[in-house]
Amino acid sequence: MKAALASAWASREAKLLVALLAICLAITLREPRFLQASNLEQVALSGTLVCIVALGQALLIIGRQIDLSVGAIVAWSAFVSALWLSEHPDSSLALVFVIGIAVGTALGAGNALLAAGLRIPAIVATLGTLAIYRGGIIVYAGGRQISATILPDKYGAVAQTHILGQSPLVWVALALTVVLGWLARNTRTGRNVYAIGSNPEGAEFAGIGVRRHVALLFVLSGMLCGLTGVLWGARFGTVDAVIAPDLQLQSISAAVVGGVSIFGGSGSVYGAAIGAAIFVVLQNGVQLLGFDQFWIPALLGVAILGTVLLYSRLANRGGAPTGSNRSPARGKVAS
Amino acid sequence: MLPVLELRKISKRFGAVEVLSEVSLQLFGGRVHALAGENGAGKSTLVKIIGGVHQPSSGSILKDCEPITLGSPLESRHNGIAVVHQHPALFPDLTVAENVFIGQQPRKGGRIDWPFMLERAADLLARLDVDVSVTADVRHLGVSERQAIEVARALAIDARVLVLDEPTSALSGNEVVRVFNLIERLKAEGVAILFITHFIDEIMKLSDDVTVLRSGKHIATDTISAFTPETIVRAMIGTKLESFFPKEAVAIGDVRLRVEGLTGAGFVSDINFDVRAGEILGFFGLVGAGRSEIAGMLFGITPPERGHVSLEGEELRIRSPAEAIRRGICLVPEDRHRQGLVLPFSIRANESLPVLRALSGLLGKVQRSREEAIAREYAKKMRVVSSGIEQTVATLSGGNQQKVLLAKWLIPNPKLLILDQPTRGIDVGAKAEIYRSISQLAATGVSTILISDDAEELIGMADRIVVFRGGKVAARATRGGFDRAELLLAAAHLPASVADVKVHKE
Amino acid sequence: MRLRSLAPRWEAFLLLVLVVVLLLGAQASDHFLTASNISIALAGMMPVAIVALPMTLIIVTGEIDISVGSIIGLCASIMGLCLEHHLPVVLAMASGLAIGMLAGLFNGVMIVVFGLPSLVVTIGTLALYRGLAQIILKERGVNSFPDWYQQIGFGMIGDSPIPWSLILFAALFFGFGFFLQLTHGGRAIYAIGNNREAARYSGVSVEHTILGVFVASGMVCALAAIVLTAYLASARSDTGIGLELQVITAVVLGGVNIFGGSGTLVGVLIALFVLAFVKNALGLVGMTPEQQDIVTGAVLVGTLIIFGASRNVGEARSWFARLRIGRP
Repeated sequence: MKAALASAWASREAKLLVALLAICLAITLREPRFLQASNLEQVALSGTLVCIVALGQALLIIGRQIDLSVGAIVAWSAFVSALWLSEHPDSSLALVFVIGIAVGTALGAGNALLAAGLRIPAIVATLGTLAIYRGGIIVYAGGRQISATILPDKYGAVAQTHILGQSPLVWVALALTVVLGWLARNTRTGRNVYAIGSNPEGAEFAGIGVRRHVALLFVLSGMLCGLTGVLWGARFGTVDAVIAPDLQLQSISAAVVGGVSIFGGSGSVYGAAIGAAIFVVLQNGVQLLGFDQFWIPALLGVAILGTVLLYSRLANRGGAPTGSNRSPARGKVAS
Repeated sequence: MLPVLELRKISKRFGAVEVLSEVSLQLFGGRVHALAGENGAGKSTLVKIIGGVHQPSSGSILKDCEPITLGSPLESRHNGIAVVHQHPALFPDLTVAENVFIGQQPRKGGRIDWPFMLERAADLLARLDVDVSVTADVRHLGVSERQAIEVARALAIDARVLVLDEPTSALSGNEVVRVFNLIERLKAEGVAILFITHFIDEIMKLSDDVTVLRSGKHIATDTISAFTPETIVRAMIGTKLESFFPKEAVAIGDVRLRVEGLTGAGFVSDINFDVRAGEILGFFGLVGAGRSEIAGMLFGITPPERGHVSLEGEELRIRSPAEAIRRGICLVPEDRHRQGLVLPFSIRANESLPVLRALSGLLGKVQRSREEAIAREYAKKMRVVSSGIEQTVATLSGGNQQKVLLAKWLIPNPKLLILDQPTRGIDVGAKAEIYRSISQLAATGVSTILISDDAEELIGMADRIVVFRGGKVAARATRGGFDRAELLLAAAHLPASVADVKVHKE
Repeated sequence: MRLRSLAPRWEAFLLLVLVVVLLLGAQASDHFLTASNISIALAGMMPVAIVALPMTLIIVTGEIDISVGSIIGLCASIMGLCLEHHLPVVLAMASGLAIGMLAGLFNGVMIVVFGLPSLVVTIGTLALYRGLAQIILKERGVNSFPDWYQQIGFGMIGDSPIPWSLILFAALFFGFGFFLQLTHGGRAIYAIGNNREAARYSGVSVEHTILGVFVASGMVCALAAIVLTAYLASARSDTGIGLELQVITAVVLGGVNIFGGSGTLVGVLIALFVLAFVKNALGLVGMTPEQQDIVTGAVLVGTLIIFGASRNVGEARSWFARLRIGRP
């Protein structure tokens, strides 16, 4: 019984994994360099940061919300923690992480207040916080750039040392994916998020506190962005206020390609992680195969449109479409 | 034996309208209590009160003889009351097992105990003799299975009271039998069952006690042995028939609409009928019989799979409502809030919507003066009570909203007007005015199809009646030979072994 | 026809905000209320303003178009490519218009014919169109625009402070306004946004209408591309990047309900003025564009909170009332 269940929900993610492997295979056949350790390492590294943010975004979309301010939150966290470290080079790394995550959590709480507390539709609320947070960090940074040269080596080492042959970033991303995926699957809170996305009024009737859960999702997304911010500095070495300008679209695209329905209620963080992987692999493949990097956004667009079209075809074959007048990701918190 | 749940003199007012007055009811464990009454009798309001959605304006609710309040659906569930709705609101993206245990998944040390949950869910479904995989997506399930899941949800919380709201209305054949078996099993487990229906034969077959409501009033309560089908029907409709149907004698002309072999919408098959000029053809049947689907096919909402429709001799292939309107077919839909009116719009804007193009001049500009004139004219014809044609339709009473809806569909001068439940949920005064309008319309030669759940209404207004059941024609009757009880029985799901049916049956 | 109780109040409120902004701006800088400054403020806002017009229609129907910035970039790139090949400027402009229309048509088809949610489709086309723009122009910038062309962007009419682009905007404003408020097509848009099913049952051609607004959006984006490239005197693949956020901010600030069904172009017009002058005033005071963004974001969120608070007050009252019923 358990095995049957496991295979049931894993089928979409399994297909995605197969798709990912197929893409890898296709690229390898044309360009064997793809499989070189150094290349794979680079691919993995580029994917991790988007992946972590995509996890939070996926959970939000599953709950019929959305967060457009993720890039700005990452920038805040990255800058503040790098700044701290540059002024207190002897401080422990753990403290740096705490600071970054705290910043992210606070900004996420701001989103939660607007979306869950004041019941402003998520898409508009985070449009506003996108501007406020991004403008805020640019003002705060005042044009400063914190570069690797003034940061202690241990910081960069976070990204560069090898644990079991991979950067710690990769392990962190993997661990978070597994943990969040497990929580979404095996806790009441996790299942409630799916219920809210599937039928918000029904969820309210069943006694699930919709606003509480929505607030949690935004705070969680903020935390993940906070973590990503700190890791960003470790990975890239240079931090300023304009980093991660398109992170919201990247994370949403990763989730959507990964099978998370924009209408809410279905999909998984595993899918979002694989979606992020598919994107970085495609990007890498484009480069290796000699295409101009200018081809990348166009290919990403095709990938998004193609997968959404595919999912809708599959869904329609399966049964009646979701209710008309369903408002994807602009859904308010209960009415 | 003490009642598990008791309602004492429950009344409910919405504004100035009293929907329930002093209804009392007792539910005992292991007994099925049927709640009978026609549409508008107040059954669903009572269910909502028991389910915690509404609170009574006066009266009290007692559980195990202790007064309780049911302030929310959750409170109702915590008191061991489970309601299975006609259209279950489940979570389409989740599996069956998850739906059964939504919000209260069994846990083992903080984590959800999936094996246990799946087993329990399978158990519950097996107990109900339902053959659905617990890992199936609810999205793909039909109404019958969704109901079963809601019942399973009730069992999962060890409900002591189960309310089944018109459980068989959307079902047919085997599925109906399954519901009956389900109820027998629940009885055996000692659950108190409140069973809302207007199918007389089901009441006779299943219930131990019966309560009849009419117009919100409590008419009768007794054990089933004290009733016969005829006495139940009489209690439902009352012995005094108010004859306020101002049907004029109208010269009926030639056949205007001819429908042959109409098939579609999944379950409607081989429908044949015709409508003449000046005639009012009644469509009787119960929810799910297929009448609205037929209307939708005539109006271009969904294309039929097969069949021929001809208007005044000319074969039609209607693919959209706009085309239907052009050809002279108009539909006043069933759900005036979801399909009929745009609530935030004014009376004028609603009335003019179907003919807006015709009211427009250069560059598509709407000719306001013409629009206002025509809106005013028809609002007056329908005797809409309002502060003017600019009043927002959302603020009108149900009766006036329906009049606006009717006016809207008279403006295009239809040759065929289909009315789907035009008097549902409106007050008596407005009803009378709508009947008058329908009658006058027929006098001008318009062909009308009148879809209604109210047999009395059709008997009063129609020239002929077609009875539908399960997507097929079940019976036909002509004015002069109408009999209410017979119509009700003809529309019932199970073959009427309960009484002779004198009406022509197919 | 719109939510009558709410609309005039919102526009009046916005006018008040505009007056406050003008007063504060005049306080902060003597230069603020000069003719030349006003025209600069307006000219800078024109591309956003132009696109906000069809965007309003789209949002009123209950859809959304996030790809507008990318359509502008794509049109700019096509025009730049034409100029690089020494094609006549007018031909370049015509190609830009054609591409814009096609881009809008593609969006519309995906949404209407395939039934895909507009949010996701336009996220995909945002990437796709920008990508195509990048493939076309790569990193190059095209500056070989004739003088008369550049006049479209920042030239004034004769000696007056009125920019040419404002004429274009005014024409479009009255055109779209006429359509939305006075024609049957505009009524259909409000109907669809309020109750799509009832609109369908009333004979409104829902699919054609939605397809139409997306095509219109594409074409208007092409016009905006012309204005923007004229203003910047350059066409690049990243022309118009990020524009969609400003456009949507203006529309939402203008009182258009993000879920569809209500809102007017007058409200959006006032909102555009508010945003134009806020940015201008802040710039005069020495705030950087980023600081201006904070204020813009704060204005957006602030108005939504006020908007939402008035709703919530009503809900809170009825919640209290509900508590009293049913309690013995």
